Amino acid sequence: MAEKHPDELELLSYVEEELPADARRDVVEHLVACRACAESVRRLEAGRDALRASPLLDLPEERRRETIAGLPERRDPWRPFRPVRRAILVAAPVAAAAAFVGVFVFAATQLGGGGDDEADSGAPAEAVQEAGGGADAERDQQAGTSPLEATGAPVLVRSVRGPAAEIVALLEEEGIEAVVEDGAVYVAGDPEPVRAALAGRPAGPLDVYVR
Amino acid sequence: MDPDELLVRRAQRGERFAFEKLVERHEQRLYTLAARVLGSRDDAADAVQDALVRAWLALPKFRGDARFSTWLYRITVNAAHDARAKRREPPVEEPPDPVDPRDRFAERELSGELQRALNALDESYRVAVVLYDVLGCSYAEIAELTEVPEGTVKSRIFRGRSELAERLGTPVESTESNP
Repeated sequence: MAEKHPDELELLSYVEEELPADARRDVVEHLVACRACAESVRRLEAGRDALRASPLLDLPEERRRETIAGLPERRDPWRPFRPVRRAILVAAPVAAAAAFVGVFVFAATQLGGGGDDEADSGAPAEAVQEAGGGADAERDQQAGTSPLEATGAPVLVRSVRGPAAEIVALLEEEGIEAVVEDGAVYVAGDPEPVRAALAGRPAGPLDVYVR
Repeated sequence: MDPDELLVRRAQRGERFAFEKLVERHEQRLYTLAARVLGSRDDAADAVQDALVRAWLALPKFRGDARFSTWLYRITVNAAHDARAKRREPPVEEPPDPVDPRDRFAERELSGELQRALNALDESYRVAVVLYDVLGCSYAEIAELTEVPEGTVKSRIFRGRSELAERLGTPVESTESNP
């Protein structure tokens, strides 16, 4: 028998077949000669076999339903600040453009004496337009929707990735009633909460209208 | 990549049906974990309900450093531990004859010899062997979710399995009064 007993981690590694070949050979040699260690290994295997033969158990159906139905409202801590954040997002490019215009006009008046105002005026206007054009699609659509709202026609809020049933469920979670008609989702009322509820959805082919 | 990642991200944004899908995926393992640790069907269901509510509320803070399943197991182990601490009496007899056949099956399992032997183990050994042998977690996962070194996890598995085998090999009367 080998002089030193393997420790418990070595015996576990032996049972789990995690030992490198030469270490395993040493343990086997020891086990052949040492009844106490062989008995430890037998217990480890018996305990493992009893546990691994035990089945997975099912959570009672009504408990699952209760849990899902009873999930508390989880408020987005940033929600109250979203309008502010959106305002900053909108204002930042405009402010940047305004600063650019200011610097440009200042430089022009300092260098050129201001005699060529009409020729210069095109560039800042373009800069403002370009800065505005870099903002998100939500605002573009919002800007484009007001004439339609005036006519009473459905207003496209966003085009998102479906499926429609999921979008309806998502809107209903936010207390917004929605229906599916002709492959699009329709909501009654204010577009702003709808836009907020869909803010996290990627763009896609499913149109969501307010009417 | 964590197979739950996409659903987790959606559930983090507040999509309840994404969370429900995650629950569907993991509930059986969470319930088995709680039931084997607590030895009681009702207490286990309470602990899982508690764990799922905790998970839902804490989800925005989940950063994906661990697998989502590991994170859920950790919450469930904690919920089971709290349930056990609150319980003043040893595991009570379950109400007889549940209607659902799956509940009857669970009840039979939890009143069987293996569960009586498990109930007699130290809680840390019980958690380690259930996670390793019943749920198939790795040493590293168990170390992470129980916040002990891997060597300690291995030692707990060694001792848990050994004691379990001894108890299963001897008359079980002596373990019945020991929660």
